[in-house]
Amino acid sequence: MYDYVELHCHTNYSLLDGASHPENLLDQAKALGMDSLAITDHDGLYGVVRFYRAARERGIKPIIGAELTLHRPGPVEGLAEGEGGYHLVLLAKDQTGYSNLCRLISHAQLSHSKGNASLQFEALKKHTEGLFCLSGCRKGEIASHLLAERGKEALEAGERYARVFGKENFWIELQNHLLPEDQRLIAELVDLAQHLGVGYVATNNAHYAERSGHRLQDVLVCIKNRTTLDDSAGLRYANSEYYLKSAEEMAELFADYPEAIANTRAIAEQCSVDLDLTACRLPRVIDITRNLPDFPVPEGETPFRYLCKLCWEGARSKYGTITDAVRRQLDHELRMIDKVGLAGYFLIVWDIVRFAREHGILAQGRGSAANSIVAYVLDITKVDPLRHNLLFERFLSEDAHTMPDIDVDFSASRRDEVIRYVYEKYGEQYTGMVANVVTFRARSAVRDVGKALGFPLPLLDKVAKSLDTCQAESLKDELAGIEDFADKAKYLPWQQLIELCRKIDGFPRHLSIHVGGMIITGSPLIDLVPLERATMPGRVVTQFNKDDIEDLGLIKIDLLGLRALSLIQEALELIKEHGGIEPDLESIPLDDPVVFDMLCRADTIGAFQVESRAQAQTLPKMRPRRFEDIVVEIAIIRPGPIQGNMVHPYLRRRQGLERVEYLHPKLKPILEETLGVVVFQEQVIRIAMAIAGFAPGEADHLRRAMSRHRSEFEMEKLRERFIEGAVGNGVDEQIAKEMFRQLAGFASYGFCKSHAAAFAKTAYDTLYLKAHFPTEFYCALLNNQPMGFYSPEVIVGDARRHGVRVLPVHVNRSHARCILDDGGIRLGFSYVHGLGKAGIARLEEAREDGRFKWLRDFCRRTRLSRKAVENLIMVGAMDYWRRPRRQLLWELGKLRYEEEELDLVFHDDGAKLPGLSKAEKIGIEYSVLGLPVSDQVMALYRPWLKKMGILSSLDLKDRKDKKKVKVAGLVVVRQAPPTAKGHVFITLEDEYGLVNVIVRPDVYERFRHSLRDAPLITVEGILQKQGEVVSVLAQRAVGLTTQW
Amino acid sequence: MTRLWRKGQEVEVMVDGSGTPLAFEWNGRVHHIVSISKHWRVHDGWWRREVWRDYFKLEADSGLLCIIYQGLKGNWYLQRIYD
Repeated sequence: MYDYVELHCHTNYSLLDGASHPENLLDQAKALGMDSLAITDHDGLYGVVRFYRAARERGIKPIIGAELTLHRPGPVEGLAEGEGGYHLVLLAKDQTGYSNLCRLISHAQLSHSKGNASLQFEALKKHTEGLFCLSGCRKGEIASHLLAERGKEALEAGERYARVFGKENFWIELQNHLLPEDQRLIAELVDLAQHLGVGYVATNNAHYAERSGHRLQDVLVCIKNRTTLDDSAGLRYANSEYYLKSAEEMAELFADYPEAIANTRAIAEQCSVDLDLTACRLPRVIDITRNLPDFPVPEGETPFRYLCKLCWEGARSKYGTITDAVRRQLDHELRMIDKVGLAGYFLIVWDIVRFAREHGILAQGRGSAANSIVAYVLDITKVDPLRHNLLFERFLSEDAHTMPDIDVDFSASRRDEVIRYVYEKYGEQYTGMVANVVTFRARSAVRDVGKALGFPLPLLDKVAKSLDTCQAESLKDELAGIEDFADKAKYLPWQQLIELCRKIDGFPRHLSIHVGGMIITGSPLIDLVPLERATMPGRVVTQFNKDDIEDLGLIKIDLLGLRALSLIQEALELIKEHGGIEPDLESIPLDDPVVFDMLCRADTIGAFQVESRAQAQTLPKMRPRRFEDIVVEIAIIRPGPIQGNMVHPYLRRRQGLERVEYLHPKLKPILEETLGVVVFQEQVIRIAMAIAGFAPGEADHLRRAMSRHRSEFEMEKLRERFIEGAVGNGVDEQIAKEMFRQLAGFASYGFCKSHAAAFAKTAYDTLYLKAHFPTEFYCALLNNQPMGFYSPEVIVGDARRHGVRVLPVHVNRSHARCILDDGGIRLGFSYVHGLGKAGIARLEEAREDGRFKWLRDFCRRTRLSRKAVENLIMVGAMDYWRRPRRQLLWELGKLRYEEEELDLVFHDDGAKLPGLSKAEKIGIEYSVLGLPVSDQVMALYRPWLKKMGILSSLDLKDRKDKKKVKVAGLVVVRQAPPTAKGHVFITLEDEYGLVNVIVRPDVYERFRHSLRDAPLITVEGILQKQGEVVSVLAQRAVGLTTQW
Repeated sequence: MTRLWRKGQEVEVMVDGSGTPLAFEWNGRVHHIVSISKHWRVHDGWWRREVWRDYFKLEADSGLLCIIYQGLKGNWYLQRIYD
């Protein structure tokens, strides 16, 4: 029995160098009987938290390390500057080692451009405490010298490393991959180690779990180097020996050096780092109270006393008189906040929101923080947790396993100002953005893997574009369903493509910035997490993603940009500018019948959260009449469950199709608000507390375990605890079991009520504006695209149907953005293709000297490109000169006119040209503006459609349920939610409104070509009417102008 | 000077339990392997025609200094002889 631990192991977080997920490597290690395994990715700890978590779950000891790239002095032949640095493996022995690893990686990353990390030896030598150093692979400094027969340099390097790390921490690394020079190199390395008086150790520099992984590894190397397998002989490994080898295999390879094998165990035993993975219930390494910055408070105050003062002041202004209920709740929360030492955290968030408000930036908290009255009275959140019966324990409890998380939305257009403020206030050393790891999906996989295999690019493009799926894993099934590619799977290259895409699915590809996650820390960030450059210049990002940060127990604040808030903000400004009375959204009544009438008839295009196709289909069934109904609607109608035709039991009960009943009378007060059905995560917590006597933190742990699909082992433990507690409370065991089963069953539906309530408020605000200030609302909506579910063309149609006039672009009246003009909305220049920001600026600047008098005057003063002027003419921006558009184009053509040149000659030759037809106008508007100003395109076809017996969306309202109908329209939405089991949902628009079309998988396959690619289609199918919900179940579909 | 066969000359080889060659038959006689000075492996080309070669540089009791390899299908070839 040999004892071997792999100490040099790359996961796929080495980013395009490493062909196995951390879990696969750990599974293989376990199968080989290894009780410890190291992770040593290139210049990063990206995969460390995931690796650590997975290792603990499998009972394997994780060894945290990295392979760093060291700066190589002097130019190297055949390599670009900065390329070809030396490799060096570092393993953390303890917390100090972990911190130093973070520091060294950050140094290497931040001192160079993104993706070119390189560490100076001078920096390395300052942070060696707590680290083991292995001399690295063939690219290590010592091995490189020996391979080039520079013995003296190798020895010098070895002495240098031994000096800075200490002889007991520096190990000469031996690798045998059956390459021609390996045996000689090993012998020389062993000699050198003996000469230096340091130990030597065997590693296999594993890059994949099993031998078969070498194919993907080869492909990844090609992707990284942007080349093909045929052209990459020198870049790829020469064989497939870089897998996780067993102790026996390694012992055989190192039969002459048994010590090299034995030393792996000695090193592994000395490495022990605890990352504070809360689920593992380890003592906190990163103490949040230590790691929160001190919030500057007025002299003589402590953060907590200052927080109390702010809260009571806030409470008085929110509630007027402070009732017992308010006092009790506020006292309770403040006590808890003090106990867990989070007063500073609340002050930080309060301060950020205050900054935003003082600078006129709309801000509001979302997520579980809206459960807190403290957040409400500090003006961080907008919903009153008492009024909406929210639960503080969902946000924070004394014995919580994770840190609370406050997410704040800001007006999207101004979020950057807020982030800048945070950087300035706390300093760059203590502030960072959280990473988001971008992974391979079907299209990127096909493109990248295909290129490496040598497929022609146009072909790959065609394959990628015809895929509907996001998952590379299902590529095979998908290709089989596409006519052009159906028979390809029998050819070897295609089989390889399919197989490799399946394997690469979900592999990390590169790092980007998480939409809003920021961490702020008390001790320098660089000691806690590795940092690197973000793509955005000047920004720094952590190498950990948001789940990692949470698991580490660090505090994160999500500062998100929400376009809906930009929309609201702009609409309010427009109301004020145009002399209207700006509504105070904080005090508008939440029971406006006009708003609920709109919801009942699903008149919600442009409204936040309640406009999607699925929402529009359920709202008429749900018939919301109270604010609380919107909260439930947002919580249950999400992509997934509903679109998969799994109607939520709540809806059945609401429609009276199912009786409202409770498993136990104790559930009634908890579930009454949702008709006996578990809808909210808060209810799971309440049930665990009330029925099974869980402590609040324990109950929240159960909630988390259910929603994050924790291990079965953990669930089983919680289940036993729940049933035992329930029985102890006098609940029948069978009923307790059934309760737990139902709780677990609803876990995937479970939604945070406070989050839904916060979003419901924003939804209500947008609906309120749409109902009472439609012109301002649509104008702001058009100015904040893209947002929400629909494109500008649909919005313009909806505006028109609500009596709002949309006016064409006008050279003398329009601005870059849409504005209110002449009682309607004047489209802005930014909707005109080909004008660009610079063009618009030039136009507006020229207009400061007075209105444009004529085409020639316009061209002379703006000197815009001919194409831009043409586009302006074609969309009617110069119609007010009362010349047909075609005539203007003709005249433009005759101008001897060059962009940015002044020389103009103009003769009137008296040509008279006909105006554009309506169809031409509409066609041009779609292509130049992306939306129709004159009319919706289907109006053109209406006479012909009538003749053909094809109905409009209006006609459908009078037809009977289950009748066969034909309907036509412009495809504005096409959705194939993964949970809908192959169903495709299409929304058609005509001049009267929208029509929902449901396409079953078999019908989709048959008519895929039209359904997927044609812009205008005719659908034949069965009309389905449920109350006011009208849809068509498609049987056939063709492009509009095609015959059946 | 060395003699090199691009594709190698197929030879019969006797191996031990771990697959290491002990002797081979070439040119009408059995060459017993005295020492193996190098062993390396190539595994490549899988996307077109997979190549797997386990190379051994060795010295035989006949005085022959040569390289033999075992291919993907288990057959052995003599690739190079050093004069």
